[in-house]
Amino acid sequence: MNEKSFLKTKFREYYLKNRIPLLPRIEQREFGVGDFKKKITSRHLNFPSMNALKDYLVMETPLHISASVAYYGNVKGRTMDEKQWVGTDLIFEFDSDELNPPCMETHDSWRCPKCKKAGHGSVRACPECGSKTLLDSWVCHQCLNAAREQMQKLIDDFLLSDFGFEKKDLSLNFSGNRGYHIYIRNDVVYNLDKSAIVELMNYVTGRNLDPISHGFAEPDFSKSQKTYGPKPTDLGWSGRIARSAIDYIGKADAKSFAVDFNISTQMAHRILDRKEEMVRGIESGLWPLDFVKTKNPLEIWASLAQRFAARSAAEVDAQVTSDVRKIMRLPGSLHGATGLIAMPVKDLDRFDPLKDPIAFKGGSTKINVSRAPEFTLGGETFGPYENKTLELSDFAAVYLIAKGVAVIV
Amino acid sequence: MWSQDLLFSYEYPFTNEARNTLTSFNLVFENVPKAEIEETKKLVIAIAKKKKIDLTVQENSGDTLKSALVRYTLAKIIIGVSNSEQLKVRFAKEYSDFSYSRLKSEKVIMDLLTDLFDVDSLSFDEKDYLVGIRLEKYLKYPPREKTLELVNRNLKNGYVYLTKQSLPLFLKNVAYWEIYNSFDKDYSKAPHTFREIAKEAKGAIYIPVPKIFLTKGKLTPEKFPPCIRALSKSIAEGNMPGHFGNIALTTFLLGIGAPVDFILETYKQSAKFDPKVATYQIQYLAGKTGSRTGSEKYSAPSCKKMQDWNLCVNRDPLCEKVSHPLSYYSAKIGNFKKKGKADERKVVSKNKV
Ligand code: SF4
Ligand SMILES: [Zn+2]
Ligand SMILES: [Zn+2]
Repeated sequence: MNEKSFLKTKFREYYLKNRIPLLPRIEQREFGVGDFKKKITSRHLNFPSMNALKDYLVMETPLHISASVAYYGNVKGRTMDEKQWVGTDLIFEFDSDELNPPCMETHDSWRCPKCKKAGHGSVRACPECGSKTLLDSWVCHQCLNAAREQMQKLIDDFLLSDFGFEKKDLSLNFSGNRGYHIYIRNDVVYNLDKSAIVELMNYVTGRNLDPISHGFAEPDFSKSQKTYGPKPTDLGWSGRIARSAIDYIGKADAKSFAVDFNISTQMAHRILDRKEEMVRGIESGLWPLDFVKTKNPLEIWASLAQRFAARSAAEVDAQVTSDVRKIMRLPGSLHGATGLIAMPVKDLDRFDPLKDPIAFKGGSTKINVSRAPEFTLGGETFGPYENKTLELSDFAAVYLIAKGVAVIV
Repeated sequence: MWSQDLLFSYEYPFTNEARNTLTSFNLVFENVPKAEIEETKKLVIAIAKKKKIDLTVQENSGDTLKSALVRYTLAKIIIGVSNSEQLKVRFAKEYSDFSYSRLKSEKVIMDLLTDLFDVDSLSFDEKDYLVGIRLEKYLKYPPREKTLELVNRNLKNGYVYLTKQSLPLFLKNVAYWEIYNSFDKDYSKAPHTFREIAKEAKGAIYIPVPKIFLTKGKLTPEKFPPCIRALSKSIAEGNMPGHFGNIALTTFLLGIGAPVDFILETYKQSAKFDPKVATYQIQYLAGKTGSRTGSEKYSAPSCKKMQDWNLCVNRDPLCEKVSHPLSYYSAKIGNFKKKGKADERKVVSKNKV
């Protein structure tokens, strides 16, 4: 049996015995499916009901299945025009590899197809010859936690507090591999148009922040070396800018400060001696500018604020939510590159992404693993393996085969 | 005698109040005096020709205010019949600017708010702010200025807060989109006279051609760099370039000084043109280029960026000498005086990398 049909058989078994959670307005969505090592091979599928979807999963058993975030008036249309976009979910995607966590250095590796050089970490261009590398990426609790924390920050700081969405409108979903998706579905979101989605995206990423709109006054150096600015207690981004500046000053060392403001390290030292005075100033809405050597000091503060305050937000893949034609992995389906369930997450604090989404409990399969670092799955630790033949529990065998690093023997 | 309501309707003809006032006129097209139609025609043609327009009436009287409101209504139908994007945009802009110029007192501002939004959509309880608008209501009006972008407003619990300075600007934006969106009607039953005027107005539309486009008084899109030519060609063939293609083309055209109208015209060739989205996107990008924060993001992309976006196609020999589509164009139209040095420098720095 080859690897692809092995996976298909396993997946089919799973879809036969398990239910896919209800997908609202399924009949208005476009679906796309993928195959072994190919996330999307065809799009423009549609299903009139959950039952029809289930039948398809059992009969055809694609290794990947995704559903559109958008809803269409005429889902059978071939082109986007014919489909008639009528509404959307709002989605945010958090992938651990976007966050560059330090653990990537230990579990990821790369190799150059051209000059055959190889190494650890996630290197996208070969340092030897510049060719695009082949990446071998893995996940661990550390990087999945990083993604979870970023997601939590977005939920608390933006979705609930600023946008005023309610917890019940958010559905969190494990992606089945590297991260999480947040879906926001309610009548408000459904009725947003494309320009509104761009606005929301810019808000969470802090793109286009305008200092003047946030309470900064144009400085007048003939009168003062300070200028009015936002206070930490202000709402929304104004407060965020002030708080992040205070946080930044608190943590800044002379070297990074000198770089950020383009001044000498010596001068940075002198300024940072006045840390407390600066912080008190910002708290009362009077910002220090005397050491900022550019023609627009406000821009420096604003871009710093954006850099620090929006750290979580900036890493949301901005393309995702503003690309209204995007299709996302179907919640509850199996991920064809891991065999894990892309499952809804009810309790984020308790969720273990390397244990809870395991689909294949029981059974074992004999495989040959070409190469794998040490990894954790289902509460067990495996590897490292190098060209090793062994019998593994099905969930681990499926995982390695789906990742393309093992074959059945 | 004229009433406050009539004055309000004339100043803010996009409101519910104005709609009610208009209904009370029992307007029948056949009975509209010829002179009124003539006046309306003048107005529409002036808008088409992009002439300076003064919408103030000579003196406030029941009759003058009433005719002004009737003119607004008739003009709107004519422009609706014409189905011209330029006319719609210009009309909405003229009238929203006018309303904005009238927006002086806090009382009127509050009247407008309560006319346009239901009470549940408003919040008055955050100190230092004049008013909060429900997020979803706020987002119905794509921002046409920097300070109205959501990221430049402060939000709390699903309300977007506006200050003394920003509230009138917001209302101007609301006016613009309310008027613009009100063209979304069936005009098939409009009287014949209106069709005639619409046709004439369409013929009179003036599209300013930016100077930089002109070599010896002519348009020279053939001097655009290959990448940009490829994008406009694909539009002419009825497609819409993708997200990055749109950014590249629009910022390039803005970069050479093309006005928003001209760019809209370029896009309109495409069968897939969605006026609301395109207008918004272009105005949005226009607002971004030259804005002081984050301006890098939306200035026309360099050749390097274009390559990253897979948009650098059909390179020709001149491409080897430039690192930016804009410098390609300025070299092509013979900006040699300035160009000489600048391009040398670029070539040098290119070799360095
Ligand atoms: S080299 Fe530059 S100007 Fe020439 S086609 Fe490519 S992007 Fe356009
Ligand atoms: Zn190499
Ligand atoms: Zn990790």
